[in-house]
Amino acid sequence: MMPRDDEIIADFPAYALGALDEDEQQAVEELVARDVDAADELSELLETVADMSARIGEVAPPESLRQELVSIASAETSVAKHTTTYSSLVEHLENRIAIEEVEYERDLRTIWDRLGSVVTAGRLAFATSVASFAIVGIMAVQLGADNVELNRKVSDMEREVAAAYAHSEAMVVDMSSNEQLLTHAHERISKHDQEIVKMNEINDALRTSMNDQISLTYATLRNEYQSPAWQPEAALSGDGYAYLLEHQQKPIGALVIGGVDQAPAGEEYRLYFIDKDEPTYIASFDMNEAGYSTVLFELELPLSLYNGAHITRERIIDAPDPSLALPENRFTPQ
Amino acid sequence: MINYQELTDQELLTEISEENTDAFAALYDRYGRRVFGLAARILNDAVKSEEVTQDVFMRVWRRGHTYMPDKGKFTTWLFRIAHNRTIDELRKLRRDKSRYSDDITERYDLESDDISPPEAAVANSEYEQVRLALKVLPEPQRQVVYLSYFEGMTQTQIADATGQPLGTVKTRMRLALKKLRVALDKEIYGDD
Repeated sequence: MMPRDDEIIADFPAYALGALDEDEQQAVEELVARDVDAADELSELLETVADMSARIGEVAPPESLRQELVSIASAETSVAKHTTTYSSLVEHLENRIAIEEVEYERDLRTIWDRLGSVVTAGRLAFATSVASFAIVGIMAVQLGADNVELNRKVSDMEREVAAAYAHSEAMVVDMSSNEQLLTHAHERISKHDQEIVKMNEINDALRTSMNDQISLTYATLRNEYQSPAWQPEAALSGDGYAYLLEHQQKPIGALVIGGVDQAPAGEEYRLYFIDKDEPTYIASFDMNEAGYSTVLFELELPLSLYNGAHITRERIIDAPDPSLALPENRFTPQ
Repeated sequence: MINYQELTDQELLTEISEENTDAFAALYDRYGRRVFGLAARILNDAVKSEEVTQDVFMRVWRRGHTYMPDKGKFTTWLFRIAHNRTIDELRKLRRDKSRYSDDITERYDLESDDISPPEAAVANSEYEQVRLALKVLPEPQRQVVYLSYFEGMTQTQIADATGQPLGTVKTRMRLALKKLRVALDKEIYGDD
């Protein structure tokens, strides 16, 4: 049931204080739209509350708010300027429709004057034409109204587009910054990759060089040295090489070894020959920085009298410990 | 060159309706602190108060042409928008979190010294005028004004919360606004 006007008027103070729900608010607004006295009464109450609101006090908002408001307003203005062309076009078309209607009516009157004596059938036919024109005219006016409404909707939409555009521009700026960071990161990764490739090339070259050196040394030594029937056991890392040689005329042996890391500080490698499972200390040595070494040593017995060799890594301050070369004590370099 | 500070509110609105952003900035300079102050006093939240202030002024920018001078002063229209928008935000905040005591007697303690940071910057001499104006009201009337205006409660909610008949709440609101009108006029004109 609809409330009576006096019931609605009783809600005016609550309306002014913002204490009505939506239905009650709507009832108040409908009443003041049709009742001037009621509108005046409400206006006084609204003014009282507004005076109170205005005197609640001043607080400085953040400085950025002013600039933000002006920026949004400027962005919307920019869009409105673009829509001006469209508005002008619509206005022009509306004017053209109005002019056409006036001219057509004038021409129509002239035609009626000329055809005053035309037979009834002719009048009826012409009347039909007039009716058609009237329909066209009404449609044109309706079209004009539709254009105005359409124009308003387009303006609203374009404002929204402008706001979205401003937002997207901000995003583009952010994305640009992110892209620069990303590009920088890619450049660094790329540079790092290039350095890795270069280091691998250097390593390969070094490895090739080392192998070449070992081969060259071995080939050189083989002019005067010969290989025994056996070689040191593979107590070396995966990439390691080791060859034993024996001088053909002198009691001198040679160990050509590569691909083994330098011993840690305070340690060294030691070579033992094995004779019937009895290790005999032969020589100590270390590797150079490239992991390569050629060791010459005196031979008390021909290599043919031994049946094996082994390399250990021991502390320098300790005396050679042959037991470390026994199978059960041997270490395996990692 | 136009000195926008010297234009009346209506003249500024006319400029704004022609999309003059300088006029818009001048209107903000004139009322921005008061609108923000109103929101800050009621919401007690600087970020939300900034949002409310922005919404209010963007509404002026977009819908300023809907203001009709024959229906009342511009400030009535502006602060009506500001208060409604603030109350909307307050109700939204209340739904989001229970920031209010269930004891409504704690809600309208106008003597409280518990002033939060945004409020601390309020020009308190002006708020003092409002507080004095409210203090001239009998407590039942002051209560309904406070609960509706500052707390965003509807008259039905106030009737439920206070246990008073709805008709009584309406009557108290009407009497309260009449007395407030007189009290505020006294503050303005210094009548005794």
